[in-house]
Amino acid sequence: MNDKKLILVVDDDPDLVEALAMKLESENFRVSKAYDGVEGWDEIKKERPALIILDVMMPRKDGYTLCNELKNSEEYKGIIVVLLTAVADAINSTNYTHMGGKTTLADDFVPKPIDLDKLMEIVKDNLQ
Amino acid sequence: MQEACSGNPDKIKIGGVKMSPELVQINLFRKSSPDLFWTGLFRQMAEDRINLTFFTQAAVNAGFLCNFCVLSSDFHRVENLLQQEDDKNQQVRIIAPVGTITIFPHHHSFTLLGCVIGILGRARIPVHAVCTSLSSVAINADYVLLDQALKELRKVMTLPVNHAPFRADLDSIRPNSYPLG
Repeated sequence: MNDKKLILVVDDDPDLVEALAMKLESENFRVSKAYDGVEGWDEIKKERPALIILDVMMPRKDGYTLCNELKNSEEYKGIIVVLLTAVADAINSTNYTHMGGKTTLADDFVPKPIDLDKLMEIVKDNLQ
Repeated sequence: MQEACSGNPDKIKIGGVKMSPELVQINLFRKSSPDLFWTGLFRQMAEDRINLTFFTQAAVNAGFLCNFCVLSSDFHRVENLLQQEDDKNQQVRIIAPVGTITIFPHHHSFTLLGCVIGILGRARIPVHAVCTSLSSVAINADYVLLDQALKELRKVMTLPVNHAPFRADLDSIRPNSYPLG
């Protein structure tokens, strides 16, 4: 049995997924990857992650929707979700709002552009 | 992977393919140091919220070369900026319309890059620019040939079962097309 905790990274930017995976693996986590909310669900069903780092704006199924589905699921609501949110000054111009984010019941938020050290701190705090 | 490129039925497993919307590729060439001009140009583009979807820069024997892409709908604004800074030391070449095919992940190996270029070459699909990033191989080809390029690539590559659409439809939920991620 592998005692490293599994973290799922879901973002439609493959370079960001790769960068986060490299950082998380260097911190002794296992990482699974998905590039939108639909693929994210597939990965969750394959192997339940301890925590999900979830982008908001993605094609097919966005982060808010996936987060809401998880938190309304008896089976998966215990998975910790950290949402990656856009910067405040730009988010006003989209349909994605902080209010929308708050209704998702995500466990934590990290603003973009991402401060990797801050993200690692949030991940470790939430997994304790 | 090399066997798949040469026609072996064992296909290359990849994580995904994305295709860009219609773009314009701008190639800039200068014999002298480009720092002052290009920094000013890209700063102005950032201030005007013109998104760079593709960017490469290289020092070559005869000077400095920069290739970048913008959405076709943004091109007239870039054209204005280039005309404002008209400089005889600079050669400008416009290629339009182009599109970028992004394939990922490359698993930190050049094999995928060579394979993709080989496939497109055999299909006689012109490649206008190539770059690799942390996880991806990105190729610029004629926009009208993108679907054909994808068809050729899919002959040797296997995508995840629930793969996302090749063209992401984010514009309908991102009115200003900001690169929010």
